[in-house]
Amino acid sequence: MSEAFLSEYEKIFLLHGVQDDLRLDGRAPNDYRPIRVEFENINNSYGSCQLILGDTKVVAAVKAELDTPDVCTPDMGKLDFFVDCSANAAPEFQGRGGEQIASQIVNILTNLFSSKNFDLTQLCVVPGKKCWHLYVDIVLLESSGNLYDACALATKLALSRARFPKLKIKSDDEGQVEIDFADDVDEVIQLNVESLPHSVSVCKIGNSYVVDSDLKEESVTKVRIMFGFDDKGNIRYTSKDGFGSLDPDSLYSIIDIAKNSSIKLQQFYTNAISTTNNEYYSS
Amino acid sequence: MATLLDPIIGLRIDGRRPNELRKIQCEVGVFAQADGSAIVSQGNTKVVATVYGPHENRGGRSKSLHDKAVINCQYSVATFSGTERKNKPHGDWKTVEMTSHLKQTFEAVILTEKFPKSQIDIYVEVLQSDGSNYCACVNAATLAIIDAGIPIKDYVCACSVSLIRDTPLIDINHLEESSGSPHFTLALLPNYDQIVLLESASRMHVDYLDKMMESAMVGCKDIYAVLNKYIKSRVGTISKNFSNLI
Repeated sequence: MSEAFLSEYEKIFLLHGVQDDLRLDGRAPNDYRPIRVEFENINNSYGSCQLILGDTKVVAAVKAELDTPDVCTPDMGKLDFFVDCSANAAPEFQGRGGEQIASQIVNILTNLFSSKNFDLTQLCVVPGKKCWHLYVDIVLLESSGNLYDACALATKLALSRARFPKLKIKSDDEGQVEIDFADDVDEVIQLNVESLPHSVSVCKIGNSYVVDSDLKEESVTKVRIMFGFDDKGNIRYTSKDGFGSLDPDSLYSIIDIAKNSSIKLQQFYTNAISTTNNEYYSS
Repeated sequence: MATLLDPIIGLRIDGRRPNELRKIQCEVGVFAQADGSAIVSQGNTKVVATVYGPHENRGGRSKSLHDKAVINCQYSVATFSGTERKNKPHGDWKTVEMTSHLKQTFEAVILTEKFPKSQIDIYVEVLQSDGSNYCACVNAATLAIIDAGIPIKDYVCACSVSLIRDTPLIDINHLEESSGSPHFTLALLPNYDQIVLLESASRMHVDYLDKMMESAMVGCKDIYAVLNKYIKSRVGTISKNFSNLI
């Protein structure tokens, strides 16, 4: 991961600040940085958004192809993720440098938006024969901490804004299906993504917990724990990251912090998708 | 072919005249972390460029040059940029080729001898591709280098040109690019009339070269006018803000 290089004294200054509930940029421990989202900025995709979380910038775009469903899940479509940690975000990502962090993000997104949490049957066109294969492609343009939450939120927003053409299905006597676009081009299919979880990462810095860490905070973080909360407040995904260890008792207070943040993210999401403009931002 | 240039009214498929550019929108200083950055869109082609440096060589002493800076480039194409999805953003032969073109182009204009034993990184990424991707990348990288404050001989402006019905068309879009007609890319130092890159992979008659070259050079100068106007206005606001401060 791209890292801020801090001296020992800068780290101590940061740690002492966090202990007194004061972060370098003046936020409280449970504050997110301002989030801004712009929709439909990639013309060649079915739905796209650019999410700016503080100085972290990601672009997510949904592309779709018609595919044959897997034999074991004939009534389900497919959903794949691809993350490009572009060299624009940090020179270390040049060449194959960004692949490790990219595959970490892909793993988390795949688990967070797995078939248990996302209804893949809505991507089915003809059971056993044709389905939509969605690709959510993410480009990381600027990396300034908390990539997981940014990528997860951008994915959910891009999926919610995705519009697919309605298809006309004709089947002949031999069981062959023929697929064509519906006559009315304005007829589109929207996905139901309401129940997709929001990711909230909580960092343990010293003995305190902060959400939405920036690069400097990530360089002193020993443990990061990530939760996926759905719209009803259930935990759908958990993962622990980093080389430190965690006392099981502290988990409950972390869950409380994360849950409060997930409510704020949910609020942001609801406001963002209901806006008629192509952009929305929270302060 | 017939529809690419209307034989009667002489307009192109997107309604432009043969010597007309698409709308160019640019913005510099878009990223906080990089030393220089720019977003340029030419019609539906949209690219971002970032510049890091000059800084110490990342590969250690062995990769540094004692008398000048090393230019390090990466050209990548976002997987969602085209109509068809790509599998890899960089590393295929096409992007590797573009990377080396980019490196050659900018080695010719950056005053590398001012920064011995150091490195300058130029990264470009195509977010939306609709023809003339490389040109947009060069133009964006120029702006990013200016934003980073790296000394250059001159702007580098790139423009593509194609030939349809004996008429040279500049700043070609994807349809014109994939029509099979000859086309090439030219990068120019507009104030010196020096060519820094000329690249073509198509077959054309040498008699047409003059005509196409002339159109492309005019196109590059038009692009220069747009970029220069933007930079001038931006420098104007910065210096005004600065003089208000003192």
